[in-house]
Amino acid sequence: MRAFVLFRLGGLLQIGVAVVTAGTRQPHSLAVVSLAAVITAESLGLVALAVRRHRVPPATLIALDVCLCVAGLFVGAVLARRQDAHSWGYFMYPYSLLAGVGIGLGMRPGLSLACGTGVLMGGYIGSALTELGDPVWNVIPNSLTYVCNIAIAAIVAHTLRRDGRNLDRLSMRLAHEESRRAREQERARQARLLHDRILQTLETLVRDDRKLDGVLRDRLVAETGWLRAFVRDGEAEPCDDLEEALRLLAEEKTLAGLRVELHSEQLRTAARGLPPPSVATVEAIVGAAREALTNVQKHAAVDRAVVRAELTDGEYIVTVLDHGRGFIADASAAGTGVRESIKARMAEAGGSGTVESGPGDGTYVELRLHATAPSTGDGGTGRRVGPGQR
Amino acid sequence: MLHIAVLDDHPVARHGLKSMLAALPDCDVAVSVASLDEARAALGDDPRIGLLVADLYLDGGRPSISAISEFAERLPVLVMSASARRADVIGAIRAGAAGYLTKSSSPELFRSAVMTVAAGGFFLAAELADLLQAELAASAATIEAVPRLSDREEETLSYIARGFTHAQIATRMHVRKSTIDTYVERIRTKLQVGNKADLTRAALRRADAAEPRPDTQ
Repeated sequence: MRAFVLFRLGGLLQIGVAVVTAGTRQPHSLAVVSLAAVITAESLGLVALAVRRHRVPPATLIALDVCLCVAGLFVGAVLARRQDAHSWGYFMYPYSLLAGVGIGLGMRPGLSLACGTGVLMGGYIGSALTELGDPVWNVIPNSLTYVCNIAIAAIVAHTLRRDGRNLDRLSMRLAHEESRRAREQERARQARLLHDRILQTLETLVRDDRKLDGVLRDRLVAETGWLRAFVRDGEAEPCDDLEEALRLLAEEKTLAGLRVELHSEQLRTAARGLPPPSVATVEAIVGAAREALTNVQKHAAVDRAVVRAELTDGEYIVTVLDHGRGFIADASAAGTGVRESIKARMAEAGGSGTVESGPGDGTYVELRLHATAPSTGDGGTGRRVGPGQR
Repeated sequence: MLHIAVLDDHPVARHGLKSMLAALPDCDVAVSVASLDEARAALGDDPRIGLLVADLYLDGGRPSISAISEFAERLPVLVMSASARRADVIGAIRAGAAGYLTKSSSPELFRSAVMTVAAGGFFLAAELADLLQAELAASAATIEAVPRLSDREEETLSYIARGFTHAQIATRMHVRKSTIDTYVERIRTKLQVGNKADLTRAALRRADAAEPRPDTQ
């Protein structure tokens, strides 16, 4: 915008100097003064618009400006023909050279820019050849000055626009990041307060179980687990959907009285830089894990379970383990139902589910599902040898 | 009788630890202190102390990794911290801690850890095994030289991360429980192998980069 205004004012200065300089030698006709006044008024109008809007005027106004310039070139040439055509009297040529920069600044590179440049060049060539009678060898090189000016202006404007867009993007990202950091800091502060004032005391009470009766202790265990999960969530690194979904599941079950330990660091590390799993993959795994945990709640007679999530050889492996009373999967109706349901759920998604259990041995559920996208292969970072892999 | 020292800057946590330890058979909390200086003085005066249960963050924003290293040369150290940060856990283990528990660990796990560490063993909780596997995977992808675990050690680590006990893992891998204990001990040795001072410095560097103070968790 500033470049547009400065070049335009430079053009007007050119007119002012030309009119004053030529006027001192020979009085101007009314037509010359009128032309200078019209061009000045139009230019000041465009400058005012640019300053007010803080941007270069729209391409349509620039196109009208070009037309006026061309008309001015012809009128100026007719008026200058009566005088010395190469004196200050033909002020429209230098003015149009500077005004032409506006085309480069205001029009996007492309057909409209080429047309604007061509029209302005044509206007000059036509007026110089027909009205002033300048030789072709002089007119053609002169007209190329328009191309140079407009091309440089267009390149500069394009570069500035691109850098401006990048700057806007970066500023937006920075603002977003600062806002996120502020939220995290506030959350960390609240977490610190909750931790220092409440959580440590609650956990001490829970551990010292001689002082509490069963029901109250169970409730306290659930609430403490929830608070621990809430407080810890404040420091959680960005995680993929599967980990987040499992974390929510663990919190849900902890609130319901089953304390779920979720171990997902290996998954987070191995999945870093890979595309997230599909929604169907997450839903299948989390649905099956929920079923397994519900089974622990109902039948295992324990209040703890361990969920482990990993990504090994491009395969998501989620396990659910409890050290409860277990069941004989093949004989128990409930156990058969759970086993078949988990197997069917995983098979439907293209994976597999196994349930191992025996009286007194707890229950172990293993869910496996390959990452759906072919590019979600291991990539070398998470390739570890795990149980049952050999 | 096992004489235990407790080091934690939080009075309620200290009280809780003392209460839990007092409930263990043949255990006695002989020292309960809040600062490193107090701990140094107390441990220097009392050669009977057979185990130190220490918090990692002591009234400050940085983990006391070098202090763990210093104490671990004299007696078994079980770290019990609110932080589950990988840098803290790995740093403490590499500095010589014989076990690491988060403060949300169950009383059963705590008792088991105390007995294992006091007996000179390495207590590898499921949470820690998960962190170790992630760390080894991440380290293998970088230029940092880390000893590779054997397939059996890796398998053991994975089963522990899933929550299995050593006895259950032994059954699944068709070996004796003592073999699993040996694998776990080898994992510890491989983690702590090399120039200990270098590892400690590396852990401190990582811990320095960890902001904000994770002990709030």
